[in-house]
Amino acid sequence: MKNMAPLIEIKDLHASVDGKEIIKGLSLTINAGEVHALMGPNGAGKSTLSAVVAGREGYEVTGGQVLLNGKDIADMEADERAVAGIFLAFQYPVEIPGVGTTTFLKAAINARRRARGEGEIEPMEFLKLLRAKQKELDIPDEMIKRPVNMGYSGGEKKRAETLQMSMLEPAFCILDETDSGLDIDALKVVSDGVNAMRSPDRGFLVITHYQRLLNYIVPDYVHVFAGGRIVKSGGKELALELEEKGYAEFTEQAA
Amino acid sequence: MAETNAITPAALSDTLPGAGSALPGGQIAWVRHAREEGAKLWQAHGAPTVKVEQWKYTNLREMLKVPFRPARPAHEIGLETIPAGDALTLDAHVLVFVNGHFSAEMSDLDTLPKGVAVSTLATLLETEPHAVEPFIGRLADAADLPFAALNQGALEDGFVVRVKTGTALEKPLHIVQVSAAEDEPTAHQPRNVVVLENGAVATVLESWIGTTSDTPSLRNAVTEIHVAQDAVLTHQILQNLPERAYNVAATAVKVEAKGVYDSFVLQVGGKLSRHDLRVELAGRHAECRLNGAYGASGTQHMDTTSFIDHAVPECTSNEIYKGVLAGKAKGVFQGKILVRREAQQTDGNQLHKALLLERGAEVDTKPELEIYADDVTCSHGATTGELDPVALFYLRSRGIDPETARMLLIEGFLDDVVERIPGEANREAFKEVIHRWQRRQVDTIDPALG
Ligand SMILES: Nc1ncnc2c1ncn2[C@@H]1O[C@H](COP(=O)(O)OP(=O)(O)O)[C@@H](O)[C@H]1O
Ligand SMILES: [Mg+2]
Repeated sequence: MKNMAPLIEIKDLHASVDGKEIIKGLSLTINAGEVHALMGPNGAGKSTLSAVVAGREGYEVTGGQVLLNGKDIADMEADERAVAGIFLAFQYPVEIPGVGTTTFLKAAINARRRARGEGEIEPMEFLKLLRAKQKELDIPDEMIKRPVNMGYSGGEKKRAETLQMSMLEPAFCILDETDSGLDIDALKVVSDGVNAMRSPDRGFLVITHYQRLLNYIVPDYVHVFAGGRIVKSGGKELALELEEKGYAEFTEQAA
Repeated sequence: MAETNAITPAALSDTLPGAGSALPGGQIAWVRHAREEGAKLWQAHGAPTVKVEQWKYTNLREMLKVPFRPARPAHEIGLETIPAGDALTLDAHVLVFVNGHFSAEMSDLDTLPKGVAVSTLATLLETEPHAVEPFIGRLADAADLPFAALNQGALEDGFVVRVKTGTALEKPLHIVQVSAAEDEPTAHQPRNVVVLENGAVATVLESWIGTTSDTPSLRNAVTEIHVAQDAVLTHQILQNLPERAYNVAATAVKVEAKGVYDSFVLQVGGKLSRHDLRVELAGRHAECRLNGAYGASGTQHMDTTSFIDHAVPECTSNEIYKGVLAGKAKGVFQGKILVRREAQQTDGNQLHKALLLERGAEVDTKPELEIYADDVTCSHGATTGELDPVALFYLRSRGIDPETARMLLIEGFLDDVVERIPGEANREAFKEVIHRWQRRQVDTIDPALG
């Protein structure tokens, strides 16, 4: 066995928003090649956790650590974390008027390339990459011609998030309720996109409220998140158990 | 001009020509009269203070302290090249004016098509005064625009563009106007005329630029524009003056039946810049589109004051201005739409949006609808906002650095008004200036911001 640091290691993390503690001592280790599912009731703090890891301002870490490849990311800004390999597929992707989708995608790709000391991507290479991913995720040109996420339906937004993720090739992907608002066909398309990205050097944290998504993106581990921390961990069968029993047992336990 | 200024009477009077100056057309009665009238109005009322309604948000105190003298002719200054990179860059017939006077060496007039005449006012006042008489002081009312009165008092030179009936000018005419600073603070007061006769079609670009200097300069320009029946004028202005320049400019336009005046104004330069834009829709189905953007930082002050006069029925006006303000900059947008009693079926829309990038930046907006007709569609709106922190996080979460993310959001904010610029090349030329302006901000901005 190689003696390497895990891809992501969250150690006894405490985080607050507006002075209110939301994450209360969460620990989680994700190795490259693994898919972890994080399930929990609404309002548990799942999106808060994803925002804290992605480096959103206004989310204060009051204790603990997040390590990426063994390195504490506390002092890294959101864009530095992204360049280092963290990607967050937003639960609510943001519409940005006036900013063209291709301009945005190029800026994101070039930011990474610059960090690696590479030149800007060639227009032809970019187009080829974009076309291939569009096809994979069933995204028409018409969507790409619009400003970032503008006027996309819920399902289109999630497909677009997956497209970005797949173009940027991050090492660690957080999917925050990527299944919400998707019909069954869109769910399959998005899941296929994610599954195509699974690889021995990439890890995933799939946040979801429902078990349904996990039929398509089959996780290696499932964690139940309640009261600001992980209250139970298991294999993929834990998701089925949750589907049957609901979260009541855990919310009571956490309260 | 109801109010009289008693504190600084006749400030800037030194910029008026002295008695006995040998100015062009001095022997012609109407020219003499126009000068006397302008000087008299200026002397009587002085520079406007903030007590004058139209000047409420633009305080000229600092500017009026500067002892401006009339600028010398360009050949005496010895400017040989246009300051690089400041003007719009696109394929056009280029004419260069330095401190209001034509520079033949820097201009390119050879290829002007038939039906288009470009002259200087100074020449016409000597050779063909009757050709310009109907166009001087008719639209830029000296009694209503104090600086137009001062300008008229110093009536001397400027550009005169005439496009004959039915002529379509294919390539734009680009009039680059350079404020050349001298060792002493100087002022120049160009007086310009654009006339499109019936059915004429033309694009006139203006770049207001200048030489960089520690000495302040003042540009007080008046441009009177006649768009006759069925004529279409596309008029695009870039105000990209240097840091120490003051600019007071009035563009006054009259549009006859079925004529179109389509303008875009981008202001990014100068210390203080005021642009008065007045359009009279004087014939049925006349139309004006007034769009613009401005970007200000540091302690820059940028004022756009527009007045659209719907004088007859069935005319259309659409106006969108957007401003981006950083540092301690101040923006002013005053937009008045007048719909006269007889102007039924008027369609008038106006919108101003400002983006404040820093706490110290501010904007004053005054939309004003004055409607006397009863069958009209009019709207106006004004919003002031900041950069959306969620959008900023979204971009940064994709690896985009904060400066680039800000630039993307700012260009995104300006995008819809920039997209209204007719002509791909023209649009690109303005986008390029906006991009350069943004880069300048990034290069000088406090890295802790963002
Ligand atoms: N920006 C915010 N300001 C204040 N409270 C917030 C903010 N974001 C989330 N919260 C609160 O934090 C808790 C967790 O929210 P969230 O992380 O969105 O939960 P989940 O994603 O699990 O549904 C909720 O009580 C929510 O109201
Ligand atoms: Mg959530």
